[in-house]
Order: sequence, then structure tokens, then C-alpha cells
Amino acid sequence: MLNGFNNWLLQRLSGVVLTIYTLFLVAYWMLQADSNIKIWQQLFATQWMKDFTLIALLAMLSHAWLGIWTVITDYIKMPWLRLTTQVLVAVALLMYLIWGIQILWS
Amino acid sequence: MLKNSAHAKLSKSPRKLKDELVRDKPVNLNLFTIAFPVTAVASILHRISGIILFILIPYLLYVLQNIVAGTEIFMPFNKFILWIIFVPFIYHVLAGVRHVIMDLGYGEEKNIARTSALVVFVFTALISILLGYYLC
Repeated sequence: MLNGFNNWLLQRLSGVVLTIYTLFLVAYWMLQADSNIKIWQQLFATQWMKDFTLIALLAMLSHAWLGIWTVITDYIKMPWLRLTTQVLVAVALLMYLIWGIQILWS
Repeated sequence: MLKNSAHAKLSKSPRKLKDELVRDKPVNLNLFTIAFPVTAVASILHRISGIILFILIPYLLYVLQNIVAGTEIFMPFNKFILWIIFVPFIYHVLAGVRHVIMDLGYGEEKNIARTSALVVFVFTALISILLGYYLC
């Protein structure tokens, strides 16, 4: 399950999901007669948009992890420093996930 | 046993001799002296924009938090910050699309790849300008 090919595929698929999410936001914005905070607040109050946003958030965190992991392994060669950096990044991404869920559902 | 240098060299294994040659060969790592093809610039900008976006994730969540709470987040100053954030995002998406197209096997030849890199630059600029216009 955790192999190079699946990582490669997940990075592409998560990118596609994020692109679709972004295009949806742009389309929503363009199709409004007005541009204010209310239209956005209403959008994110619906159940389906919260679900869509959570999926996009999961896609973003996995996409970010794979990308940053690639950069870290390219540039940080000392094992202890690389491990520390990777752990810090992973913890940060997990905190973002929890924060995102809390924003949408509390 | 002979002690002259010719024998000393011969007594080393071929692998050791090769390692020494590899280690001592000259390198030029001064990036300012290297002429990079446009595809190399496109690639490193993709990486740099990715890093920038990673660092900006908390800000995006902060904007989402304010949208859900209903506080007025789209003030002119914040719009400007958002626009500055969108530029690397637009570039990263367009360069990513180019990346996936090349993954599928299209456009991997040298001249096509260089042209597509320039196309990504031009479209990033165009969309950034359009976005700035619409945000005002």
C-alpha cells in the first residue's frame, strides 16, 4: 500500500482533486451577482460543501506531505536531522487536519 | 618488496584508484555561472512554489475560519495578501498540469518541453493579472 508507485499516483490524484475544488470555488465566485462575505458563509454552511472541503483538505495534506517529503529527502542527508524535520512536518500537517475539521464542524 | 611509487599505486585495487579519481575531479557548483534551460527554471519554480504554499496552509485555514464565523476577511489589505498568495498557487497548478501531461508521455521532446514551460509562464502571468483585476 505504501510504495513508490502508490505515492506517485496519490500525488497526481490529490492534485486533480485540489484542482477541481479550486475550479469550483472560482466558478462559484464568478456566478455570483454580488461579492461579499455572506455568499461564502452560506456556501460553507451547507453539509455537502463541508464534506467537499474535508476531502480537499485531506487531498491537500497528502499532496503536501509527499511533496515536502521529496524536498526533504533531496536536501537533508543527515539521518537525525532529516527524521526530525519529517516528524515536525507530519505533526504540523496533522494539526492542520484537526484544525480544519474543527473549523467546519464546531 | 619494491618501495617506489609505481609499485605503491599498483598495490591498490582498481576500485580504490577509481574512487580517488572520482573524489578529486573538479566540480563547478557556482549556480550563478551555469546557463539553465528554461525547463530547469520551470522545475525549480514548481518546487519553490510548492514550499511557499506549504508554509501558507495555516493562513488558508485562518481565512476559512473567518469565513465560517462571518467576520469581514475580504478587506482590501487582505485581498492583496490573498492575491500575492494566489500567484505561486496558479503557477504550481499550471506547472503541475504540464507535469501530468508529460507523465502521460506527451510533450517530452526538448523543444516541445521548452515551449510548454514558456506557455506556463505566460498563462500564470495572464491569470494573475486577470485575478488582480477581478479582485479590485
